[in-house]
Amino acid sequence: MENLSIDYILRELSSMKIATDVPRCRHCLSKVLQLCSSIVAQDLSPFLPPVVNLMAHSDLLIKKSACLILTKVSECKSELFLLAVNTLLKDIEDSNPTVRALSLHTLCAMKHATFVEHRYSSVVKLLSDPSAYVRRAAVMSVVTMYHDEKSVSKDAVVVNRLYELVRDDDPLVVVNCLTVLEEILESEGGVVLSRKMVGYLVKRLESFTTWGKAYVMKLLQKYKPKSEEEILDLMNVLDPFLDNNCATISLYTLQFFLLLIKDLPDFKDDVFLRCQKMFLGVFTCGNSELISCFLDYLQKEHKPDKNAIQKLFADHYKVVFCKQKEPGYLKIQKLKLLVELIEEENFTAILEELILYSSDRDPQVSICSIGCLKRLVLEWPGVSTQLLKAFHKLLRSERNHVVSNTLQVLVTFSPETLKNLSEVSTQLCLIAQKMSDAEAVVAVLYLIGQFELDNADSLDVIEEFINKFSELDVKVKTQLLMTSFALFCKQPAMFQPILAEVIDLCMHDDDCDLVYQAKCYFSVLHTDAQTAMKIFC
Amino acid sequence: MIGGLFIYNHKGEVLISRVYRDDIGRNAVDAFRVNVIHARQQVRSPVTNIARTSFFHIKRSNIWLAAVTKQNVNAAMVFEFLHKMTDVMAAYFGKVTEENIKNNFVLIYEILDEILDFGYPQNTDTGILKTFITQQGVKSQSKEETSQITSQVTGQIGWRREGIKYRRNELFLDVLESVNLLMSPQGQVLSAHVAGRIVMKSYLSGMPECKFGINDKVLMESKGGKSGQDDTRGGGYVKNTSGLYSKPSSSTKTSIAIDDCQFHQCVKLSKFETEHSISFIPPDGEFELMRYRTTKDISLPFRTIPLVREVGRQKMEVKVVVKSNFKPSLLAQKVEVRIPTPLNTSGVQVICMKGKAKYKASENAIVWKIKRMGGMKECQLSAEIELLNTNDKRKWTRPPISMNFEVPFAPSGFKVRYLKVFEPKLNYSDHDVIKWVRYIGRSGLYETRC
Repeated sequence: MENLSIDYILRELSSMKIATDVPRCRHCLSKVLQLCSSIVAQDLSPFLPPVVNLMAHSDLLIKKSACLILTKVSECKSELFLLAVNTLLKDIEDSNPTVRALSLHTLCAMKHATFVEHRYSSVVKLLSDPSAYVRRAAVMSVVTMYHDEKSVSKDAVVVNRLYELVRDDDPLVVVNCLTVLEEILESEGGVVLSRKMVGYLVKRLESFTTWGKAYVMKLLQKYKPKSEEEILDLMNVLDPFLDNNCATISLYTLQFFLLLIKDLPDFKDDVFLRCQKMFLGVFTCGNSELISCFLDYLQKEHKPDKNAIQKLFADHYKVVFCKQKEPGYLKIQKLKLLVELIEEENFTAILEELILYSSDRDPQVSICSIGCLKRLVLEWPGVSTQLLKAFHKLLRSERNHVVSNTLQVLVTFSPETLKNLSEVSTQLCLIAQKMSDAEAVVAVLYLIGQFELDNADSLDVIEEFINKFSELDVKVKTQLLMTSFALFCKQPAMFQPILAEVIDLCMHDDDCDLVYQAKCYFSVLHTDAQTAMKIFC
Repeated sequence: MIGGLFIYNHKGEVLISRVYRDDIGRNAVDAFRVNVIHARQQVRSPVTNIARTSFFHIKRSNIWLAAVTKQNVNAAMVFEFLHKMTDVMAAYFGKVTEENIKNNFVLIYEILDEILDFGYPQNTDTGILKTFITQQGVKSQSKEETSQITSQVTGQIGWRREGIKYRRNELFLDVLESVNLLMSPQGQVLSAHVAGRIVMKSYLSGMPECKFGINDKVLMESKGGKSGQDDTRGGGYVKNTSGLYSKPSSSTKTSIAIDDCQFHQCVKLSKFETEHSISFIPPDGEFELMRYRTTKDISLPFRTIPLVREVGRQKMEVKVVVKSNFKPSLLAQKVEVRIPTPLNTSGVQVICMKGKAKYKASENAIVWKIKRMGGMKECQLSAEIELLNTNDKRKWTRPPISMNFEVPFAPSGFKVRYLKVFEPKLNYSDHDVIKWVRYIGRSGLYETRC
């Protein structure tokens, strides 16, 4: 029964017997639902007559499916809507609370005028329903109404009832009321949070569901307590939530606390310490997207609080190490955090990790990691030997992108730093021949120009490039030009013929920029040799 | 909050789409597909912003789940929610794969209806969701045994959630047995066995460790007949094979030999093998703790003594005596005796002092119903069956007399010695727990040949 055509399903649903054959009916309705979600926009209006009939069926699943299909096909106009409205209004009086809630939802989801005129009275009626499940649905339907008719927010009956329902027994009803009030009273600044209300919510916080707790905590962030005593009271009561099972709740609580103690900076350290366990827990959970969110939060919100973060993770830096299977963006974020955590004790361990990531398969991760190594060079001048070894190792890597990335990062160092890394230069010539990536070649050429190399080798390299001149990328040609000038200025006798050849090739090149550059440099050299030496070396 | 939820397969085809708010149009579905799933570069971030709409996605095996919103929403909460949603779906139908989603289409729509109302997360607890959702999950053939084994090995408890709290901590143990018998006309037991199940309904707070003690022979012998606490109500007279009645003294407790038993997933089998003790952390609510079978030393609640006399070719006289064989203070309920009659019966006259007996021609049997019968009692029924003339030379092979009944004790002799509850983290002890035990012995196939 896999590929049913629309006609077949339509015939099945319209047949008289379908209402009695429950499993077949369910199956047909599920097929219609599948059609609804398909990419190609199907015209589903021929389904409307049988679907409306089935809405009055006693089987709950058929009712649910029929109502759902009705909401999806709501763009069509039809007299059948009147029949549908009557069915829904009857169902609102049904004894089964699930049916009542379902019909209210469907009633409010439809935009057609026939539905709209009845929904206000139904919603108001069901806001006082004895069943909690129905009350929840009624509360959420208020929002649906509001999005259609903004005047609902001014309606005293509804708003007062919603405020009353905040004191309801059922925790979900309470949370729903708060969310709805927040939304419809947005223009007035949302729910009014008096001290009594806050006290009441904090007392009931335990009984809410996870999402309820998270939402209420976020809501509480709006509240500004009047006295320091009140702040401390609140913090004491809400303390257990800092270390909650659910990371979002802890995060919201943390935000709330930080808002509360804006004027009391001494508590900050303590607060962060309390959250430590939670943060560590987040890092070890398998949810990489969540970890990414938390890292983002730490980076953005706490740029000035580097010390605090360092203290948090100092002993547990291993938790931040990346796992093989994590997505690229997460590894990059973790790397950035790792660099912040480096201290004397953990230097070697973190360095090893960085070297490991530098040879990662993902080029983005690799370049970020090498960038971190560069930071280390700049910030920790005393440990340059280790770093040097690291760079050596990387340059010898078999993975081209690793070498290329290393070279690109080396290029960004200032000449003084480079002098410290002069041993790197020995490998440069070998690499130059290996590389095919334009950026890498540019980097190599630049480096060759910077270091005092064994002349024969560099001569060979340049000659090679001259032979391949026409195939080279423009950037490479430019760099070749610059390097030739630099080498010439260091060793005029040796490199004079090479320079002449390069200039000649460049001037006859297609790219006008290159031609211009060549002409320009030549004229500088020609006019004032001394100044030229200073410029190019 | 969340404006819409979409589930795509690895090709980018939409499997499920549910829009909660009006500000999310159909083009959102396509936008995500084009920009993320079919994008050439690798995924940069789980959050994508396209035209003022934020797309939060998680990828599980080769299924993409995307939550879409136009409002300012906390990313961590959305991701936790998506994570929990996949947990809920997995609880219903195993791994989240394309095949499973397609098979459980309607179920997923029901779940989405319940857990997200107008884009706000509601209740995602699987236990509570089951009360609202009509469908059962359809699992495709997958490795479920390995997950069970893993949980036993790693000690992860998947059958009980944390943080359960009850004001009254109580538990109910139902020992449900089904006794099956085949007896010869002379009163000899040809075959008898009892199939039992222990169903426990626990309403306990926290994560309590329970220890269950029974009068299992192996255990009793290994402990040298030491007695444990007896929390049960009402012991019983046990009939031994010679027919004499003996009252169990306080030092010697009778034990039963269990032939084989099966336990619920939560019982720590390693402990059972080493110390022969049944130790577990119970799931909340009702569950079947163990199943067992015994064949020896069964105390048969009823003894049927039939007497059939054929008077010529036209008449048959049947006399059936039913003796109840248990403590007089106990009452058997819904006792029913079926006496089969020949096919050529024309009429039946029945006399019985207790209960009601009726001849049912359609079933070819006399059905004798006794509402209640006490222990150590005798009831009698006599019937005269008139037969039609028949040329049939064949003798009527008499089918056995069958019985149905329900007795408030365990015919196998199974006794719950103790059920101790330890919850070190919370402040209630074993004594604070209210324990109830009841024994229900039912008849399975209980036949006496005549």
